[in-house]
Amino acid sequence: MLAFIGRRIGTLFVILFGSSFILYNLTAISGDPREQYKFATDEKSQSALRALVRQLDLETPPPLRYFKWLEGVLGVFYGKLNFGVTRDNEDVISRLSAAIPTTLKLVTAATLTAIFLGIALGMVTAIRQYSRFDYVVTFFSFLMFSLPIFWVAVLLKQFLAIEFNDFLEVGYIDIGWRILIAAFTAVFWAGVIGGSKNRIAKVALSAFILTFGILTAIVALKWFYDPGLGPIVVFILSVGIAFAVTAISMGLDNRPALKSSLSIALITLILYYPLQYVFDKYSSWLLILALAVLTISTATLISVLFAKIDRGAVIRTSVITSIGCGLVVILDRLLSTWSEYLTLDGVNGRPIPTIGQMNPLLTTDDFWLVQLDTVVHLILPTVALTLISFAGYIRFTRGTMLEVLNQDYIRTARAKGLSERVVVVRHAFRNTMIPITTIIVVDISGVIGGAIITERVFGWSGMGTLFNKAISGYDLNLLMGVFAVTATLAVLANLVADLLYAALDPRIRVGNRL
Amino acid sequence: MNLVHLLFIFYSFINHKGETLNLKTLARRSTIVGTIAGLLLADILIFTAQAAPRTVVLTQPTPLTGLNSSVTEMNLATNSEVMYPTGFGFYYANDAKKLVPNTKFGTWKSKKDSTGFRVSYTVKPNQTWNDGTPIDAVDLLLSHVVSSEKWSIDAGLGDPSAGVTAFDSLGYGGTYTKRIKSTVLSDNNMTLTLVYDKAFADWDQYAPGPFPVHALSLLADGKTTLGTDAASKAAKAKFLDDYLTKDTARFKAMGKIWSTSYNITTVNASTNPLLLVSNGGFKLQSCIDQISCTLVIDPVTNGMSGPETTEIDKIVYRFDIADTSAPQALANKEIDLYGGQVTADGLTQLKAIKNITLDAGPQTTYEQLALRTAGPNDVGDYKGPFAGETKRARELRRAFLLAVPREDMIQKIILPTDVSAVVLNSRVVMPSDGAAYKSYILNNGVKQYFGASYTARMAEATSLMNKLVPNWKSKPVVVNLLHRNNARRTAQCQLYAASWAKVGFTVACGGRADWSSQTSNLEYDAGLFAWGAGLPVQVGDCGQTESESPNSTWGWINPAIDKNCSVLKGDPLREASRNRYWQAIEKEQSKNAYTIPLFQWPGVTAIATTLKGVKPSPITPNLVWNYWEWSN
Repeated sequence: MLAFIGRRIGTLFVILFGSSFILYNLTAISGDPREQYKFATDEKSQSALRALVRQLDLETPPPLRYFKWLEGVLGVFYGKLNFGVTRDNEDVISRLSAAIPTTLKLVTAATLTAIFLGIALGMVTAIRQYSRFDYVVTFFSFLMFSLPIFWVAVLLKQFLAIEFNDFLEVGYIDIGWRILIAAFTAVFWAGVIGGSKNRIAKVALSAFILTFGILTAIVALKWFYDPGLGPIVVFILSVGIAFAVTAISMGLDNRPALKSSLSIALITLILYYPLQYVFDKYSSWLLILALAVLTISTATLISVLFAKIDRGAVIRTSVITSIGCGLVVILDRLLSTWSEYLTLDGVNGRPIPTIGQMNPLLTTDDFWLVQLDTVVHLILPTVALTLISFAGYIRFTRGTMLEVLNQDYIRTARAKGLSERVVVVRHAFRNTMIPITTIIVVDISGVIGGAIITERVFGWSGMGTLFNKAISGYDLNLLMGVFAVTATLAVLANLVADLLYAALDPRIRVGNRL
Repeated sequence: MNLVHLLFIFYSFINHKGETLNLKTLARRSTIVGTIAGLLLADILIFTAQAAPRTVVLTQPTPLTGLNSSVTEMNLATNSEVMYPTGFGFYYANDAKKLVPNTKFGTWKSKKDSTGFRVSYTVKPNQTWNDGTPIDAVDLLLSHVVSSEKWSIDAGLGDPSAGVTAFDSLGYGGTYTKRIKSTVLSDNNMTLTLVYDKAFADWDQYAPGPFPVHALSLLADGKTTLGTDAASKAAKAKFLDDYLTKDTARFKAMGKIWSTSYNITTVNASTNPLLLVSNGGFKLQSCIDQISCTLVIDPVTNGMSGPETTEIDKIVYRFDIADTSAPQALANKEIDLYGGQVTADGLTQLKAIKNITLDAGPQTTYEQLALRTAGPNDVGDYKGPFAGETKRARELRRAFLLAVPREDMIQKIILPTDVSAVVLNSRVVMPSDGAAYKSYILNNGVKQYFGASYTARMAEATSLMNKLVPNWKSKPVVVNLLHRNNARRTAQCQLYAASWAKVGFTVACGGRADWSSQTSNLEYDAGLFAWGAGLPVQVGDCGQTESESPNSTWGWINPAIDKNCSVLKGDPLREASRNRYWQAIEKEQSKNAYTIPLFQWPGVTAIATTLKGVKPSPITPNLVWNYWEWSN
């Protein structure tokens, strides 16, 4: 095992060295950073040109310059990492360290949503293969998959930002729009739900009435101006989460699991008001972290109290429930900040932005307002990225799941009378996750490389923007900086994926490969 | 929600637990309720008044890299535009590309005598920097320090032509350093006289810009807070003393600060306030790295050293907004002002937005077609169809240029993005310059040689070709045309090629991304490219047209042009005679069929309807130059 890792890390260095050398020289040949001064005759440009040559060491031939660059990069081993300077004389490292967190902020939510939704939908479509639901999901996912992101972005900006903000200024949804939205929902649910025509009609009708009713209520109550869930809705949602998580992971007939999950929902209700007080007084990321630790340990404690056997599984169930409840509480807190956010000077009643990663007009440093500002700036890019990327996960999960479901051991499991839940969750799902995990690992490493187009159209400046800038300005050091980060992560991710594969699948031993 | 609360309060007041109300109680309670309601209403009104935007949000294509754009590596348009509202000097450039004297800051006058050419810059009294330190002519001295190579060498700061100096300044190496002899400070320290060896063209563009030298001096002493009045005064006196004695150590320290400490991209409460001492209508309040910079009105200096800003309080620059994202950001009221180049699609998108006004019109960048006559600067021997200065070569070039469908080009490609576009007949003065253009093109020869209608031009081109290349129908002349490989240039080249084919030229459209490094590639016989114009200077584009100039990539060798250029490069001329020489050069270019101007690039400025007073200028700082006239 160790020998395997050692060998792989050795190969990794060879790959990185070779690819960086080739990339460095190809890029250096492909364009000249001096180009913009080519025709300039004025004194300022001549002076700027001299400075550029000096600063980027352009008189050294690229292959030699590469080794100078490499020397700086190898400084990582003795604490003097140096990626050189950009053509604007900024330190590449400082640019990278500013861009990486931005990119992570941009893509984390979208990647997690895509993975979660993709796997969930993929599982369901596999279980209900060739059902109407399967077709509907497949159709939508392929539709989204085939749309270019810049176009999706334009549509989202128009409908989720501009029109929504316009709506907030008026505060009224036209009856025509309400009918249209309700009808769309009805069609969607009719597509998803199987069964007799009568049942489908009933479902569609109730979906229509419910949607129309909710929309009308929202308009009448002006909910958009002061949203918030309140303790009652938070409690109802928590109970819902408790039931859902238990049903999937342990089955509702597992009393200890259900009891501990429901207790967590109850605790959420009891702690609702004290939490609001704490949130108002001492908000910071540290507090959130502390609360998260507290939540998880409480959940563990409760499960230990309730469960006598199979404790691990019960603990897992209640921890997941508690995280769900915690998220609901935070969502509620963010929603109740909304009305204040709306009236801020820099927001002026138009909360959803089309560009940027933060509102530069905001003068407040209130924790929740700042977080909400980040969230509203994340909405459009997250929706766009999720829409176009979850199709891959759906299809892959579906395919793998179908293959697993046809295995002999699934038939055996069914034959010995295990419930369908156990068959799917314990036997099929786990085996499906093996190949998916490796894909996820590689995808996550790619995420750091940035979403070039997404960043551009939504005006975020992360790794994608750096990459773009580096290419268009023939900024070799900057390009190599981005490359060094992404290439290292890609190679490492492949290694991790291999190791994970071996860890998850006992049939595979890493030592025997390579 | 407020209304519901209000009704509830009102109800509980009126209907007080079944108690019967007498008139007096009712009146009292109504008064209380009325007051509360009034207060709430006032609150809403006041709040609305505060929210009324006296803020202007505009975009810059690239992020800020530093506050001092005179530092070589920091010479980006963004840096100078962001800092523009924080400073006033002797003049500013307006939208007509003219320097406007700023008499609130100071005045200047020139004198020629046997000892040389003297320009005296007098700073108006009773002005201060925003830390309260008075502004005087000592603040003009740093401009000399960062521009005069001789001073740098004398003070032991290094030889700028060798590339090593204490001040990493862009100002070295130019006309100023060649002509300046000395500086003389008046006894009251309010006038700085620059002594040049002789008068030279455009000397008025070399006014010394003010710099808060006391702040620099304090920074060099390691200070991190603003000095007291006395300390600032002492620091300034020390600077003057250092200047007069050419104190190497002190200036090296100040040079290091000047060249590096201002290169910051984050500005907030913890930024050293000495770096932010300024005298403009606005001061820099904050910058978020890569995202934005916020300028707020400076109560101390607003209106003191320049025009007063009265209608806006805040200017916010947002960086890195893509051209394609700008229309929707405008529609969503996230930005108030956007300027850029535009495609037909982009313009359509902008036109569909309700809350903006569009100022679509030409930019100063103009497109031209140039033909190669020789290898530039000993690159090699060019043997293509247009080579040489013989009559035959000239006539062949002429036939080629005559067949350019200039009108069709405007009609099909430019008009969709710029409704005011016309065929360009000059490379010096633009149609957007109005009357000046109309009188200018009467004598510059472009119309004289290429002004006929397209049909007439084609007829002339055909007859020329019949004479020069009798068998052109079976064996056309092959021409390689260089251009950038973008959509418009490709469309343009194809449009032209169709027309050229009719008179016997087979044109290969050579679109490539690295076109600019290929202009001296002898494979190409012609090139389509654009020039951007800045503040007009007397020397014009002699740098590109003179025979021996290093930037004359198309190889034109023409004694008449050289003669005119040598005059333009000499003593300052009046505008009328400048025009005469420029026109003579253009006439030679047309007569010898070297090049032909085509059209001005279309640009667009989108302005939120609430924002008034924006007058886009063709030169930096394009949009913000008259910020004091804005209202929002």
